[in-house]
Amino acid sequence: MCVKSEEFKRCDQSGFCTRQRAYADLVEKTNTQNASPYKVIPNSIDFNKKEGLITAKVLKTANNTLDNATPLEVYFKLQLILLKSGSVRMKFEEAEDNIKTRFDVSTYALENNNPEPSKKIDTKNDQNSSTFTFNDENDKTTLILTYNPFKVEIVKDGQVVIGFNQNGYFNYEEHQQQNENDNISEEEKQRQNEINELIENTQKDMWSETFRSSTDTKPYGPESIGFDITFPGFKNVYGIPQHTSPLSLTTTRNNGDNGYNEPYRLYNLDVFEYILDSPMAIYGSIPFMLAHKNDQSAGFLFINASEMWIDVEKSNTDTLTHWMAESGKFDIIFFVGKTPKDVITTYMDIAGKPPLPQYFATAYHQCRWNYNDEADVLSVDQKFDEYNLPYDVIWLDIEHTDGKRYFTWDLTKFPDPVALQKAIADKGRKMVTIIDPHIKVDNNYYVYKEAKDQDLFVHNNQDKPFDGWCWPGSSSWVDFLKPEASKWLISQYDFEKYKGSTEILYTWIDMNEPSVFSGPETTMPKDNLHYGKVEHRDVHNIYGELYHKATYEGHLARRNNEDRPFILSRAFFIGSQRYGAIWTGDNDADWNHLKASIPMTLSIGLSGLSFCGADIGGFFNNPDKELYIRWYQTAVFQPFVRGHSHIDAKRREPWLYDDETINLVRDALYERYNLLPYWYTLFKEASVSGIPMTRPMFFEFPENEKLFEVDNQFMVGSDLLVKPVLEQGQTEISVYLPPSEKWYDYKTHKVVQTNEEGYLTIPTSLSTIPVYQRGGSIIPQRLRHRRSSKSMKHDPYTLLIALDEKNEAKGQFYVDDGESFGYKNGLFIYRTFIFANNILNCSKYRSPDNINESHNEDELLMISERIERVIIAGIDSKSIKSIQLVTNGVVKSLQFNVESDDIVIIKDPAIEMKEVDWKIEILY
Amino acid sequence: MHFKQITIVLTSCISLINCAVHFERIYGVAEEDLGKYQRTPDDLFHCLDGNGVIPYSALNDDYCDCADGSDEPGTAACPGTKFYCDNHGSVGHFIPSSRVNDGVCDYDLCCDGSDEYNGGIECPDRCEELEKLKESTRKEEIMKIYNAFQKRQEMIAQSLKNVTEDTVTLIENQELYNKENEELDKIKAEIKELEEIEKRSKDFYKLMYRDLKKDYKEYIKKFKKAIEDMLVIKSMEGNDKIDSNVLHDIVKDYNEEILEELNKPKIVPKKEQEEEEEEEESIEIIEEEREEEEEVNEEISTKQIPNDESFEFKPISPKNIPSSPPPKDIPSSPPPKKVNPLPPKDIPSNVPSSSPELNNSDDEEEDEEERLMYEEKKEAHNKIKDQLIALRSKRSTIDRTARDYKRTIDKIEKKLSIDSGLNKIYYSIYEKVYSLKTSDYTYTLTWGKEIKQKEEHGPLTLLGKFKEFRDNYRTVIYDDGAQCWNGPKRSVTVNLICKEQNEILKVSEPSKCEYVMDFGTPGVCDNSDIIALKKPEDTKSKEINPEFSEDMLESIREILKDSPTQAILDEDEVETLEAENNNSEQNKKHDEL
Repeated sequence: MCVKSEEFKRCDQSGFCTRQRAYADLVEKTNTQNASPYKVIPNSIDFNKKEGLITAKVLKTANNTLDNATPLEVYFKLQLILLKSGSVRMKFEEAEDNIKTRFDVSTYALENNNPEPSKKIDTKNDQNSSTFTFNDENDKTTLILTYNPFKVEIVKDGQVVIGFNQNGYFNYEEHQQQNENDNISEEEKQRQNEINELIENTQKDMWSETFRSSTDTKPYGPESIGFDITFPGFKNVYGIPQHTSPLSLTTTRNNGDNGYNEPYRLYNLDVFEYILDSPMAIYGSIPFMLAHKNDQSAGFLFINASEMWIDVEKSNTDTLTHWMAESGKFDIIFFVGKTPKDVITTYMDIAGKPPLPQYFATAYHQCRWNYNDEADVLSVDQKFDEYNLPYDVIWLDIEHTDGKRYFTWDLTKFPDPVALQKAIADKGRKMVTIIDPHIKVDNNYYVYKEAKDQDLFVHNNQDKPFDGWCWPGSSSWVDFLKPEASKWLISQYDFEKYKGSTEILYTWIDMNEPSVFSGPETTMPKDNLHYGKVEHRDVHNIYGELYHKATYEGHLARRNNEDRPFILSRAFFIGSQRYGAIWTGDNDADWNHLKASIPMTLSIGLSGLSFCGADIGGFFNNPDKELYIRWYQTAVFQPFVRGHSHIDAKRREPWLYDDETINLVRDALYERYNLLPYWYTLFKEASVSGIPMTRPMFFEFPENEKLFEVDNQFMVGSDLLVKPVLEQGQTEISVYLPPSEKWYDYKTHKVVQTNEEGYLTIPTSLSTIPVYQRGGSIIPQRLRHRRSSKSMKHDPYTLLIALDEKNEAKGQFYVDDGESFGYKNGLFIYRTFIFANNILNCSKYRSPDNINESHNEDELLMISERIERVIIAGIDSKSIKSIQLVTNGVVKSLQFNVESDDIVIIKDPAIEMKEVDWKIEILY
Repeated sequence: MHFKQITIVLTSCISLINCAVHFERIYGVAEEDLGKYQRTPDDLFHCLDGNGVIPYSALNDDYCDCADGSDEPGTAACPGTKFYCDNHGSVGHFIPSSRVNDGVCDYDLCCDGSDEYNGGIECPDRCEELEKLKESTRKEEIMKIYNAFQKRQEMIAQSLKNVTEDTVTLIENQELYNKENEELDKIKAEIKELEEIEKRSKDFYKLMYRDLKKDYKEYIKKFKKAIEDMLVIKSMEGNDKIDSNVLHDIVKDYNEEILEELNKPKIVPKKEQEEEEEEEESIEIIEEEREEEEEVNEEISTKQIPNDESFEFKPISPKNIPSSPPPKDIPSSPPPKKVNPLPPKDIPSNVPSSSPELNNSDDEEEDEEERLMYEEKKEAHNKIKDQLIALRSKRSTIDRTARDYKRTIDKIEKKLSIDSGLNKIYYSIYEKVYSLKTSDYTYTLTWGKEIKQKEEHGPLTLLGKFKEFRDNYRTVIYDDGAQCWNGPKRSVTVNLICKEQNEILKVSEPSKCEYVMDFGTPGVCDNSDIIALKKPEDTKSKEINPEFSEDMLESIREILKDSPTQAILDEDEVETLEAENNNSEQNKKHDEL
C-alpha cells in the first residue's frame, strides 16, 4: 500500500512555495540576510502603553533583488502587542489595499482574540532599534525591534529566544495590479545565471497555476507571505501537525536528517493510504511550533488558514524555520516560557482549551465501516457482554444512511433506530453516527433542498453553487462562513429534525478537509467562493474546524446546553480542541503505523489538540493477532481509544481471534477502565491549562536532554511512563526511566532498579505492557471490572501511592457527573492528596479556573463514592503498628495488609470522596 | 446514591417446605451453597478455597478479602465471581458479579432485579410477569419444537427412503451396466476378428491397386517420351518428315487413352462408404500416389508443342487420374493451356526415325484379367465392410446405453457419498432449492451444491460451493465463490437452526464477501433444543447428547398428550430421556456386534 504521491503537490509544483523558497535561496546566494527591502520608519513608531501596543510604518523598497526598471515603494502597517503572558503578537499588512481584503481567521481560530496586554513596560530607543521590556521583575521578556533591516527579536535572560527576519527571508507579496510587461524576454533568459533562475522562480505562477488537470485562476494574483523565524540556541522544534514525521522535526532541505527535501506542508487533505515519515500534508493543520532546550522553551503561532509550507533547517546550535503561506493575514504570536508546559499554557489561553468531555468519551469506542444493521449492532453489543469485554460506544459509519444522505437512516437495515438506541442506552452505552459535510444533490432530500433554497452552499469561481463528487455522488458543501449556514446546521440536530436520533446519539464528522473526490488534490478548488466573496484558498485549513464548531453547537442546542457534546472530527486547525476529539485518519494494519501513532498523537497533542488517537488495529487491511494485541495495549494509554476497520477488512472484534487474544484485549481494556479516574482528572487539567493528557517525555523532564527526541515512550499525565511494545516478536524491551526519579512497576508496585544510565531491560511476553509509576505520585483508580464506564459510576476508588526518595507523594483527583455542565456551577469534587511524614492528607484542590466547589452536601453525594483501598508502595511496611483515619477529630482504626517489605494495603477506609480535610496516619 | 452497607443476612428460610436445614440467608448465594457460608462458632468465615480466614462480618462488606473472592457473593467487590439471583417464582440464575450494581437491570437472568440494590437504578421484581410471559409462549414453543422433531423424523424417514430407493436404482443400474458391458465386450471381439479379415483383404486389394497403377504410369511415361521425341524432330529445321497431322493423331490417341483410363472402375471405394479409420488409411495411400501423378502430369503439361499447328493438348489434371476420389475441396481442373512454340534448337543427329510403340496387345489381355480379379476382390471386401459397419453401429448403441447407466450410477454414488449429515438426514433435500428475498438481493441455496445471490436487474453471483459441515453438524461451509473486488473469494457460513421447516431465515455479510446464512431446518434439532425448553431450574445444564432417538420424540408426544398445560420437560424427564437414549444407543451397538 502506498500513497499516490503524484496526486499531491510538491513545493516546486506550488507557485507561492517556489517563489518564497527561491526568495530565501536568493538571499542566501547573494548574502543579503541583512539587506531586507523592509525598513521601519523610525519616526512612525507609536507606543500605546495602556494597550501594550506598538505601531509603526514599514517601507518596502523593491530594487535590491528584482531587476525592475522602476524601484517599487510600498508602505505597510506594523503592530506589535505585548501580552501579559510574556508573549508578543505581531501583525503586518498593506497600509493601503485596494485589491482584496485579506481574510482574518483569528476570530474563528482563537478563543481569546484579545488577550490581556502587559501593563509594565519599559522602553528604550537607540538609532536603529527600540527595546521593550515587559512583565514582572521575575519573568521579564524583552522585545527588540530593529529598523533596518527590519527584524524582531524576543529576548529572555539576555539571550535571543526567537527571532523574526533574522535571516532576511521576509517577503510579503502585497496585492498588485497585473503588469503585462512583467515577463522577462526570451533572449535575456538565456543569459541568466543561477541567480536569475531563482529570480525567475520568485515570479512563478503568480497569476494562475495548473496542477494535473486543475487550474487555479488566482484572480487576485500573488499575495503570499514568507518569513524566517529563528530559534537561536535551540536544536529541537516540535509541532506543526499533521504529519507522519518524528516528534522532533527534521531538516527539510538538502536531504535533511530523514532525507526530506520538501518543506512540511500544512494543507488539510484526504490522503488515501498516507505514507509514514513524510512532511506531506494530511488531514489537519496547526501552524504552531514549539522549541525547547534544557533551560528555555519558546513557541510560535502563525494565525493563517491558507496553504502553508514550512522549511526547517537545523544546525548544531540553532534552528531556522521558513514559513510560507499562500494568502491571508500576517498575524503571528511569539511565546516564551521556562518549560514546554509554560508555553503551551500561554498558547492555549489564546487558542482555547478543550472542554471537559463526557466520561464515556474517555472510555473505549467500538467502530467499523460498517455495522450492517440493527441485528448486527445488537449482536456486537451482546458479544461484548458475553466475553466480559468493556465498551462504551458503538459507531455507525456511512452505510447506515439512506444512500449517503446524512441525517437519514437506511430503514431496511435500521427500521427502528430509536428502539435500537434505547437497547444500547439500557446497557449504559452510547451510539455515534457519521455526518459528513458533503450534501447529496437531490431535490427530494430535505437537507439538500433546504440548504439549496437558502443558498447555503459554497460557490464555485463563477459564483454558482459548487458541485463536486464524494460518497453520495454529485454533492454540494455547506459554507460555514455564512452565519445562516452554521445556524441551519445547528438546527439539523434538533431531535425533531434529525429523525431517529435520541439523547445518547453523538456525532462523527469525516471528510471535512473538505474531501472532494473530483477536486484538485482531492479537495476543493482554491478559487471557490465563500460567503463575502472570500476565496476558498483563504479559509481552506479552517473549513473542517468551522464544521466541527457548528456540529458541536448543534449538540449543545439540541439539549439546551445541558449535555456535553461529543464530536469526533478528522480535519482540524488551531482551536479545533474546543469542539471535540480528532483521530489520525485512515491508517494501516502495519507495525510502522502503530509506531507512528505515538509521535503523531504527541505532536497533535502538544499543538493543543490533546484529545486524539489512532484507529486500533489500523483502518486498512487485517492485523494479525500480535499486532492487534499490541495495538490495544498501546492505544489504551492514548487519549482517544477507538477500534475501527475498513469495509474491505475482515471483521476483527476480539472474539474473532483466539482465547488468548480475547483475554489480553480484555486486560488491555481494563487498564484503561481501571485508570479512568486518573484520565478524567487529566482531562480536567487539560480543560483548565491546555496541557495534554499524554505528553512527550521532555514535557515532564525538560532538563533531561536525552529525552528531547524520544518518541517511542511517553507520559500519561505526570506520573505514568508508558513504553509500548512496538516490534513484532519482541522478546525484551529497554526502557529509559529518568534517573531523577524513583520508579515503580505499575502492576506489581515494586520499585524497579535501572542501570546507572537509567535503562531498564525487561523480557516481554504477549501480555507485557511496560508501564511505570513515578515515585512521589498518587493515582486514583477504580479496580472493579464493569461493562462500561457508566456501570462504574457507583464504584469505590483505590488510591495508588508510590513514594519518592523523601517518602512523599501527591496527586489530584477530579470527578463530576460526567455528563452535564453542572461542574460550572460547582457540582464537582476536586481533591489534592498529599502524603508526607507518614500521613496521607486530603484537601480541596483549587483549580486555576477559580470555580468553587458546591457546598451542597446532597448534591455532592450524587457524584461521590468512597475510597475502598489505599495501596502505599515504597513504605517501610514491616514496622507499622497501626493505621488510623482521622476525620473531624474522630479517630477510626483501619485494617491493613502488609503485602511485602515496602507495600501496604489499607482496607476500606470507607471515606467519601466528597469529604475534605481528613487524614490517614501510619503509626510506627 | 452511594453504596450502603445493607443487612443481607436473613434468618429465615425462603421456602419452608423445601428447606430441610435452617440456614442464614446470605445475599447472592444459591440455596444449595448456603451451607458453605455458615457462621463458625468463633464468628469467622473460611474462604472457600481454604486459603484465609476472615471475620464473619467481612462477608459481603463490599471489600474483597479472600483471594478466591468467595467472601463477596453479594457484591461486585471481587473480580471474576458469580452472584446468584434467587428469582423467586421463577428460576434462579448466576450472573457475573461485575453486573451487580452496575446500573443495568439484567432481567434476562435476574428477573427479580436483585442485582441492583444500591439505588443507582430501580429494578423492580418482574419475575412473575416474565414467568407468565414465558408460560404463555412456552406451549407454543414446545409445539413448534415438537413439530420440528416430527418433521425431523419425517426427514430422516424420507432420506432413508430416498437412500434405499437410490441404492436400489444404483444396484439395478450397476447390473444393467455390467450386462451391457458384457455385450459390448462380445461385440468388440467380433469387430476385432472382422477387422483382421478386412485388413488382410485390404492389403491384397491395395497391392493390386498398386500393380495396376504402376502399369499405367509406365505407359504414360512411354507415351510422353514419344511425343517429346516427335516434337524434337518436328522442330528441326527443314524436317518435314513428320506431318503435323500425324502428330495430331498421336496426341489424340493419347488423349483417348487417357479417357479410357478414366472410365475404368475406380480402385478405391468411395469416401462416403468408408469407416473413419479406413478412410484415414486410404487417404494416406491416395496422397502418396497423387503426388507421384502430379509430377508426371506436370512434366507433360509443361512440354511445349508448336502453336502454329495449334492443336490442343488435354492436360492430365489430378481429377482425371484414375485413382482415388478427389478431395472435395480441390478446385476443378484449370482450363487447357495454349502451348507455346519451342525456340529453335540444335537438333541432335541421332533422331529416332519412327514413333514409339504405344500399345501392346498382350498387356491388354493381362490387364483385363487383373481387372476382373480386382472386381471380385472388391466385392468381397465391400461385404466385409458392410458387416463391420453394422457391428460398429450396434457397438455404439450399446455403448450409449452403458454410458447412460454409468451416469446414473455416478450421480447416485456421488449423492450417496456426499456428507448429508448425521443419519444422512439432509439426503432428501439434496439439490433442493431454497430462496430468500431481501431488500437488495435474492439468495438461493441449492442444498449440498451452491449458494447464489441475485441483485434485482443485476448479475447472478456465486457466493459459494458446498464444502463441508462443521461444528458437529451445526454449520455448513460453502466457499470458493466468485472473487471479490479488493477482497477474498466469497464464502458463506450457514448456521443451522432448529425449525419446523427447511427455509432460509436470514442472510448477512458481517465482513465483506463473507456471508452468514441462518437456515432453519428440522434436521439440526437435538436434545439441546428440548433442554432449552424445559423450565430452567438452573444453568448447570447437563451434557447434551447430540444424537436424537425415536424414543425421545415419543416422550415429547406423551408429555404433550398427558398434560398439555404442563407441557414442560422437567429435569428428571430429560434425564430419563437421556438414559433411554443412551440405552437404545448401547442396544444398537450391541445389536451391531
